[in-house]
Amino acid sequence: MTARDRYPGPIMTAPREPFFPADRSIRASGEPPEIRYLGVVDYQEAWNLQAELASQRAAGEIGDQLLILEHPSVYTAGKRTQPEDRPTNGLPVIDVDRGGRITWHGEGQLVVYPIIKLADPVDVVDYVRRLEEAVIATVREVGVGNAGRIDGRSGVWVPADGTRRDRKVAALGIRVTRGVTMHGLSLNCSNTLEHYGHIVACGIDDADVTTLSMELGRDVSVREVTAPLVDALLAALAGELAVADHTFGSAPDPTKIPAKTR
Amino acid sequence: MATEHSLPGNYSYSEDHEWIDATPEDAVGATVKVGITSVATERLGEVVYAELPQVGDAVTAGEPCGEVESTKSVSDLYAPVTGTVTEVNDAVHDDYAVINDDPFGAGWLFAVEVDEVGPLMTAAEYAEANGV
Repeated sequence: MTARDRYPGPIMTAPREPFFPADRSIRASGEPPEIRYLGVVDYQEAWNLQAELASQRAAGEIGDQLLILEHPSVYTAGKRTQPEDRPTNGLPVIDVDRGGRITWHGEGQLVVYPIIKLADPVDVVDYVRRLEEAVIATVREVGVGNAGRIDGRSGVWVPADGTRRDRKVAALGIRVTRGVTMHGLSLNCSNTLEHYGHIVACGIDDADVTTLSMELGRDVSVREVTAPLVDALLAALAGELAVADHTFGSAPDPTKIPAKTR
Repeated sequence: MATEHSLPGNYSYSEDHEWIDATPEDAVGATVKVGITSVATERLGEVVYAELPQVGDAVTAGEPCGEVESTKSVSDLYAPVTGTVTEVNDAVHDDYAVINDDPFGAGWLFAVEVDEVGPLMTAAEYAEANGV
């Protein structure tokens, strides 16, 4: 029996039966994570900090960490970023070691990097779905009641309506080394969308990006969203916020490009 | 556990979820294939990209030797043995689905001429360690 027989349709379908009971923590440690509010931090500086903390976490020298921050305007590109995804405005791109393709970060966008030692057996799918679940809960709480998932694509989306296409409000990109997570998620709050216009964000060209402020027609600040998101993340990681099926659509994953064509 | 796993009985398994197609005794001095197990592919989700070592590369048991990307996540690939890479399964780059569909067969990743093996388990030991 192949994996495809077991999971009809795309294997990435959310949610699939987790290897942990959904009500159990996915963290190896029972101690609460240390939450660090870092403000606006240069991308490279934050990346160095993540790598250092992840290494210390893997060695058991520190406990789990939750880094809460914003970045000054920057593009970052995962390994699978295609040449045509890259910005056309001449702005620099930092090549990074997370999953996913290209994205943009900037002020007004809430970024969370959980440096978490995952419980054995490490279940990456479950971890990603829990992060998404926390973002969905937060976005809905703030007022975007129909936010959810698109099957085959990661991140958190607002469904198309009469005039607008499906649009992404939060993006994810993860790395797992020695059972410890790095990178994480970004949630568009009050940032400009101007910089997305110069790239093919996440390699997806048949959908748009949005912000909470744009969806709700009022200023939704990083400050307003931080506490609810941190609470939801802690609950999701602990298994107190169960991963549910908030899928409203399905789309092929355009990011699966055979290496031969690269 | 939700699913069944058919672990080849003549393979050996690492705790990092890689396999070699030989017993530890037979592997030393021989060339073995290396891949990731069905337990790994399930927990990774659909593989969309793999970065593999190149022919001639030295790999060290327990050390990272490549990366696998799935579900917006990059995970390290750890070498189950120490030795020299003699062949890479380029076919996986044409369609990474083969890694999920046939992890113990057509989804093999690379071959190594083995100097030493790392800690390895039998199929039964691996199954027990992972509750499958």
